[in-house]
Amino acid sequence: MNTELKLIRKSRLGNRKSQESLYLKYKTKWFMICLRYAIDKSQAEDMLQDSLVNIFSKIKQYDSSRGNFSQWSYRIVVNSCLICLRKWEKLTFDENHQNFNEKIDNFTNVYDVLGAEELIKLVQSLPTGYRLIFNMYVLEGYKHREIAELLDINIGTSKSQLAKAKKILRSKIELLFQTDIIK
Amino acid sequence: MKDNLESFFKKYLLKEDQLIEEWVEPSVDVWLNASKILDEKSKDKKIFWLWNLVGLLSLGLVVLVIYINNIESKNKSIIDSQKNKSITKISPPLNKNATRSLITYKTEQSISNPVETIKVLNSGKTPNSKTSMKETKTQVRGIENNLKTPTVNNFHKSYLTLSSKKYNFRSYTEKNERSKRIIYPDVNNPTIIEQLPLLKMHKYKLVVNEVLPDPIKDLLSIINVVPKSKAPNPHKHEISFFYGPSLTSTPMKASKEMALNGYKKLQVSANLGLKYKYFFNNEYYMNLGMEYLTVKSWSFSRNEYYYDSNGEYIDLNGNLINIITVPLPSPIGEMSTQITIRQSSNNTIKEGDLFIADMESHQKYQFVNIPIGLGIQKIIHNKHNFKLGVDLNISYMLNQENEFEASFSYNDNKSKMNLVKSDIINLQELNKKLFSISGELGYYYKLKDNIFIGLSTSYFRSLNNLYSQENIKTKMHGIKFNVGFSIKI
Repeated sequence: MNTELKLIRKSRLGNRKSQESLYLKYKTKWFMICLRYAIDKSQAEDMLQDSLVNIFSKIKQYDSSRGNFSQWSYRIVVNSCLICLRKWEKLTFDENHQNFNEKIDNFTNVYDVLGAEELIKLVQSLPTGYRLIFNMYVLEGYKHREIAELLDINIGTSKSQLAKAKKILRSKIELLFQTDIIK
Repeated sequence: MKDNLESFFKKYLLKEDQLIEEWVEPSVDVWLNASKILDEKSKDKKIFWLWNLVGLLSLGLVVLVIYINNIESKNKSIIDSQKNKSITKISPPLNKNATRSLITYKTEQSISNPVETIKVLNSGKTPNSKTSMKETKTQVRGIENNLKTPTVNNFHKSYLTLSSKKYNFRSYTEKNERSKRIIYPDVNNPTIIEQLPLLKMHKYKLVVNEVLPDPIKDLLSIINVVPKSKAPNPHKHEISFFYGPSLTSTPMKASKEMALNGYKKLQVSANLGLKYKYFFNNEYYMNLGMEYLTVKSWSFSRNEYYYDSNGEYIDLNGNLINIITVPLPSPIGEMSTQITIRQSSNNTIKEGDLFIADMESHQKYQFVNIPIGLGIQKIIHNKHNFKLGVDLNISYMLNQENEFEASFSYNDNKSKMNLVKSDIINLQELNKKLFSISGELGYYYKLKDNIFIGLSTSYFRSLNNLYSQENIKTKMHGIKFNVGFSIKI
């Protein structure tokens, strides 16, 4: 931990070596976040690049007494991904607040067959709006209220987008494994 | 409440062990590119702070000069008020025949060797006469004891300038003398019409009567009349510091296909410089300077082109990876760049599709500029100094960076595709040496004896093209605005 604090301190002063060390330490975690928001690896790399610029430009704002560096940096990465998506394409969210009946499914065996890379690809295949909200709610732990504020949408829209995202994911998994794998 | 699907994704996508897998490994270029951007940002930040520092220093200097000036004026007014009392007491009797004339009161300073040949412009019979001024020679002898011939060496730098069209009338203030006064010869109540504080210069038209009152002799005794061109030049050297923004334009003479749907360019720059001026006399000078110029330009253009019918540029995922030669209008000219185009999920690129490309390019240039020129100055009331100069500039390009962004649309529906950013990898050869001619008009306000603050504007036009390719004309021209200060030595 002390080493990390030293690296952070030096990074604040613009020491490129320390920044690189921090990057090497967290790159896969940061990249994983980008992969979830992007449609492919190349786009994720662009997102990661922007995230790095943002992290090391804003590192002076990081206050170690208010949380650990990893959590702080994940937030920056998620925000950078949102900015990139906004920049690259117009984000549209379906305002249809229809409720979906969600079955309680059992995915116990899916991971043995699919693996994380395939799961990421499933997430990447979602339309941008669905993908965003699925990632933010399920994986980053944002509340619907927070998502609505961040994306400037209604809470209802956030909920319905999540439900639709899950429906698509479920149907795609079902298609891949048939009902005998996923009950 | 989280359902199974949510828990499932959360469990497996946030697992630590997958992070060592190869597919979660970003390319090496990511860090290289990011560190390059960070380097640029920190460089920009340094330049930004440098500019601010220069601005603050200049401002601080100006405030300091004004402050010192105010203190001096305050002290002077105290001294003047003390002197006023003595003036009234020792004012010599005035000739009653004298009509309204400008005369000066000689202070207590002793003057010896009273003989001095001077020229006086005589206004004719009466001061109200409209007859033209004629030049006469008058030998004046000082009437007071210990009068001293005024010579340039005897006197302080500051002096009163009394001017006509042809001559400067110089009234010198001796060393240690604080001020000089000109009064109307009202016998009973001499009125001070002007006080000339030390180190200030004023211009007057001297109007005197043929019949001079006695006190006018005092004035004449300390007037040395010389032709303007031979007037002593107390400040031969001047150093100016200046900085400011400029707006530049590059006229486009690109071929039709290069500017299919128009081309726009915006260029702004900032300069920081130092100029040395050598004055041949009170009017003409030559100058030599050094200037650091940083230019940022944005170019926007729209072009149409087709994808090659062999379709080799489209990969299996529908992404286009292309080495493309884009005919851009100057100053970029034709360039080759690797562009990755990501299409939106709803559209499919087909071979032979017509594309519209909105392209935006950014260039940054840094120059060091050496202006060599001649100029003329006009001083009004010794306070306002106007300078008009022409410079030949030799500029050397220190650095040049390019960035290129493109937004692609295709077919008639013009579906917007993702913005792509890429470094320009191949540019035409730049001319590192540039020549330009510039004309400058500056106004300087005298703060102190030898310190001026000023504003200047100049127009410049380059004499050769920025790029070496002959069919692309990139002769820049623009306007510069500068603020600064100058010190005369």
